[in-house]
Amino acid sequence: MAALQPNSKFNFANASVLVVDESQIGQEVSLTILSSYGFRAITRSTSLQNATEHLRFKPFDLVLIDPYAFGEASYKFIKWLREDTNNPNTCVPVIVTAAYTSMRTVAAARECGADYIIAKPFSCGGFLDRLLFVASKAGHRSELAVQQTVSQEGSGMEIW
Amino acid sequence: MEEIGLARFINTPTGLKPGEAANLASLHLELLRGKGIAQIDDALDSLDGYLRLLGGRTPPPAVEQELQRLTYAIIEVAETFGYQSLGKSAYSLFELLDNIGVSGQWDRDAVIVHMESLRLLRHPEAVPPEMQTHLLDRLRLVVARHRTGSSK
Repeated sequence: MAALQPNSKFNFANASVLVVDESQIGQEVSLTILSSYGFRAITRSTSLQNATEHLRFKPFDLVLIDPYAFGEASYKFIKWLREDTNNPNTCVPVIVTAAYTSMRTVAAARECGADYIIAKPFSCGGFLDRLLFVASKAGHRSELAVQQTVSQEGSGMEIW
Repeated sequence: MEEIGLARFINTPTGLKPGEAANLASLHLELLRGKGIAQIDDALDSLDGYLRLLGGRTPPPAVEQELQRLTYAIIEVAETFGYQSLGKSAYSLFELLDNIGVSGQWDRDAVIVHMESLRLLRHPEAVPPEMQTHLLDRLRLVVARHRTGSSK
């Protein structure tokens, strides 16, 4: 796996990302930051049902989800994604974004198979650091069996 | 080894350097400042409205949930647009409401103290930095009184 080399560049112009967030301003902030990082193919969902449809039919390189408005259903949604081996996105990096990160949130994210939690509000540099870190780990998950990708350390999940 | 997933987009010959991308993002976010501040003000007004209507009564679960949602809406954007102390006090209120949700013990005074702090910190230029720090410390103490083992 390739960490970003010092002084090197990244180019997300051909990367596709799904942003699942019920909050309009939350979506706009994510969209603004992601497009500043060079993402062009950004799909937005304000409901899990809509996100599910997108994930069934289109491959993504990254999924961001704010679970707040969806509650427990959002963790079931991530678990479904991880366990649905026919889904083209079963191994996609999933970043949970949350403005309130209780131990419950962290535990739930860890157990459902999310890769990372990023606290909102994002700092523009901090978010990018995390994203590049996740990018440097991308692909690792696909080397593992499905049962290893859920709630096991060393599966590529980087949740703290 | 051929990179897969997001890894194929880093260490590329063309594109952005991290510093450039972060600067661009900060610049572009400024365009959302008006919307972000409007969201904060709407949420503060709605919170005030609910608390006035509630008076001394304990909120039903749906209202409690709405108070949390409005508080979340403030946390989500406050610090993005430079309202650090406001964001922290909103986080404190959210934690308080979360703890109240777990314990079932409504505490109007604790919520009102948070609301008054939020109103003050919406205008940080009028509150000296040491006063802001003091205020946040006091809010932390208020929340600590409500902290339950199952919540955090």
